[in-house]
Amino acid sequence: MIKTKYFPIVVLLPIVCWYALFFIWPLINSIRIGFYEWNILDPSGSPFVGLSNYRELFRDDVFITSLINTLKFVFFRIIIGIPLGLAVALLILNLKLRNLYLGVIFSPYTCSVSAISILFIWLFQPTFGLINFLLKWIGLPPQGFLSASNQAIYVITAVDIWQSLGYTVVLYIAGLMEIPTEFLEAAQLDGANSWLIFRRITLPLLSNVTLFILVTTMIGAFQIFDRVAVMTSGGPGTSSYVLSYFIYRYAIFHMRLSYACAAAIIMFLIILIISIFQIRIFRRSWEY
Amino acid sequence: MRQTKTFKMSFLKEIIAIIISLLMLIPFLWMFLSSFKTSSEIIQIPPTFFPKKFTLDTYKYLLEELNFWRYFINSTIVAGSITLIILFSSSLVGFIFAKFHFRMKEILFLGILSSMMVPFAVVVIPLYLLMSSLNWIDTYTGLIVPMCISSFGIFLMRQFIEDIPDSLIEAARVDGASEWWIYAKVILPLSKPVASALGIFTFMGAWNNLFWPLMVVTSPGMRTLTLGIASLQWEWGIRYDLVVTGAAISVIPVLIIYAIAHRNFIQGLALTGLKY
Repeated sequence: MIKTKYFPIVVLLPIVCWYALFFIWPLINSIRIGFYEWNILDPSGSPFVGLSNYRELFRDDVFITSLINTLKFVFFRIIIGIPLGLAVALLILNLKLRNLYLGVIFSPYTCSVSAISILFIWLFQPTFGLINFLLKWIGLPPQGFLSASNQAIYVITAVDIWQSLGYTVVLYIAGLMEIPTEFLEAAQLDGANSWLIFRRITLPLLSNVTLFILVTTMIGAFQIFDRVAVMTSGGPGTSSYVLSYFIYRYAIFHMRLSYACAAAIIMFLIILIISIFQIRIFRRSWEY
Repeated sequence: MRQTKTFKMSFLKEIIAIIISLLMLIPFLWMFLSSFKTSSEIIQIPPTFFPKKFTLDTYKYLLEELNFWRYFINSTIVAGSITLIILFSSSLVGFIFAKFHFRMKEILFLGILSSMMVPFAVVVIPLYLLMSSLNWIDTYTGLIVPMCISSFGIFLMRQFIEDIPDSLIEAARVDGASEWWIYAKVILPLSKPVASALGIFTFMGAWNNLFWPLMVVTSPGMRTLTLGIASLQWEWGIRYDLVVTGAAISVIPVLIIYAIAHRNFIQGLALTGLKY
């Protein structure tokens, strides 16, 4: 009996220590450093500056660009990516070769964002890239893509939707297969058309899967880093900066740790507020 | 009448599904074919589909001159260790939270859950400072230890282990089995499906991670494969032959594993989504 009593403590003690050292301590420090003008060589001599880092951030055009780009990316990633995934899932659900299609559609998701980004830099290359070649071939004007400051973030978003499509499709297929066929058959017998069945039966029964996809996609999309770092390094100029990349650049290249930490805290607060909001809305409207 | 209509519908669906599959496959195919092209053919206008002159020189240059073998080994060590430690810790801690009662259980679990909401970028700077004060910069330890516990893994394993009947555990206890024995002989074998899903996605995530290696690694010899190809893009961006072949090299091992175990990948993700 004694063994049973102490077992949880023996196991959890090192785990709690790990969280304290590699998660809680950095989190507290991040908040703390944001209020100082941190000097990496002499941390104890760093002056306390209150909210001045935060005030400076909201006057900083690069930060505002990063914030807007991140929100744009998250918005289009969700508003296009999730319905597209559901549409593809519904399309292939009852096909004989479903597992083959699923296997193919999911394959880009297993590769690293860096590798896929490099592949698409080359495909979107303005002068000899395949995509501009195809555009010219069908008679459309070639585009600047990643070298055009008004297009770069959209190209990045499109590539992300391409690579993550399989993630959404697999989860929706799993959700769709959980729906008992009797439900759908009964509705059909009652003369409901397929749109009505989709709106009133399929979609509500998928709400848990949708919530899972929505929350994981949003948290992942907010943290977008690799794709921007590899595809554009934030360029042209600073036109495709996003929050994570801003934090990295200011900490490593400009050595402004406090400024970067303050940006990180703002990012954290935004994610926190949106997540809580999202879960609340979902619970209210679809659970009955 | 109705028969032909549904037949036409499914034919149309099949065509669209094939087009979508091609849109997913062609970029890869193009990349592999182009990795055998010469440096001048790869930037030729109009682009060629099949390489005119088949060459393995770019592969050779990357593996021998640019140290890609070393990156490959580093990635295997780092991603392999992270996966093993996460599998062990997640299943053990998941077991504790699923089957034991103790003080502060709820608050601890809630803490682990909410840590998933915190973006990595929020802790990355203090974590980097911690690495430098521990002298872990540019070491395997620095690459592995801060990544070797997963809140998501703990949560996933708990969800799954909760469904294992208590009677199995009680029966073992009556027979005098220790908790470690129960963990190894009852819990682990029964949670194989979810553990394999967690293992696959942890390995994939660690293999593909860029942000943390970029912070910790300072010498080229410690680069992981993902950091290696990203650095290739930053340092040799104009040499499209090198960059595209580098991307191909990093993708090949993953795609081979995927081709063999694609069912586990897909079922694993499906399981994860439904268990939430």
